[in-house]
Amino acid sequence: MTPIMLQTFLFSLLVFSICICRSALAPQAGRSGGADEAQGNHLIPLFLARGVKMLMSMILQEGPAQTTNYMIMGYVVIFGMMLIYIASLYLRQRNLKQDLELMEELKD
Amino acid sequence: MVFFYAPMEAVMGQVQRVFYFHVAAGWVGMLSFLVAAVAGIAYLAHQKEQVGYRRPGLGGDRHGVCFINIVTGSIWARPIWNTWWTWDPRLTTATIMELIYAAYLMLRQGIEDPDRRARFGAVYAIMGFVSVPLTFFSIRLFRTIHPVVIGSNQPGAKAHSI
Repeated sequence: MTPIMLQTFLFSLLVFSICICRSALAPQAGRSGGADEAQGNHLIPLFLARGVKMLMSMILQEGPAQTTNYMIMGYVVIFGMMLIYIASLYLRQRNLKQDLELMEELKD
Repeated sequence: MVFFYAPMEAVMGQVQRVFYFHVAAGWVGMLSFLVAAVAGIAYLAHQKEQVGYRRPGLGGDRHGVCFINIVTGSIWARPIWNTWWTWDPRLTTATIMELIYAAYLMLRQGIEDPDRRARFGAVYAIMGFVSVPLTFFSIRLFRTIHPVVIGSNQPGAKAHSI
């Protein structure tokens, strides 16, 4: 990791953490009472940890995207079209045979 | 082979496996349109019945192949581009190509006389073939998010474009 990337990463982390902390404390702004303030103070590390985890998962992707459902959907379409095509071939063949039989009957 | 031999793509995951059919369907579709145009020229030049223009249902196969190409591309685009559809030049030209040949099928089925149907179909296939090079070169001529896999020296173009 180059120094510029590291600097960008740390700056992003700082900004993101501030945003998360501000959003976590915002609902507490209009309230009064020591319990709420204590709860708000307790939430800061939790939200900070979540923010860091989210940011890390965005930057350092751990594994491939979970796209199995889309693959299944794609192959349903592919094999569905193949089945339709095979069925159409069968129907065409059957119609041709019927036409041939009819022509032979007319010939006789 | 697709499911057991090919490794999973590192970023896109399992959905990349539709590429093995998506690209192949696109190529088969475009090449079959080329065959249709060549057969149309042959028919008009020689007026022979053997080239297949009097046979009904010739275009349905390639129509289905193009449909697979477009639909699988749309399914791939949903997780990768975060949209089912965008009016990208390649997607638009491929859809126009598909619709041109859907109209070709309707034209053929709408004409009763076999000779007229063959002649009109041949002319329409030749005219409609213009859409094929337009589709092929659209990702090279226009600004597009569609990956350029063949004939591109850009490293990013060989992977997926986001």
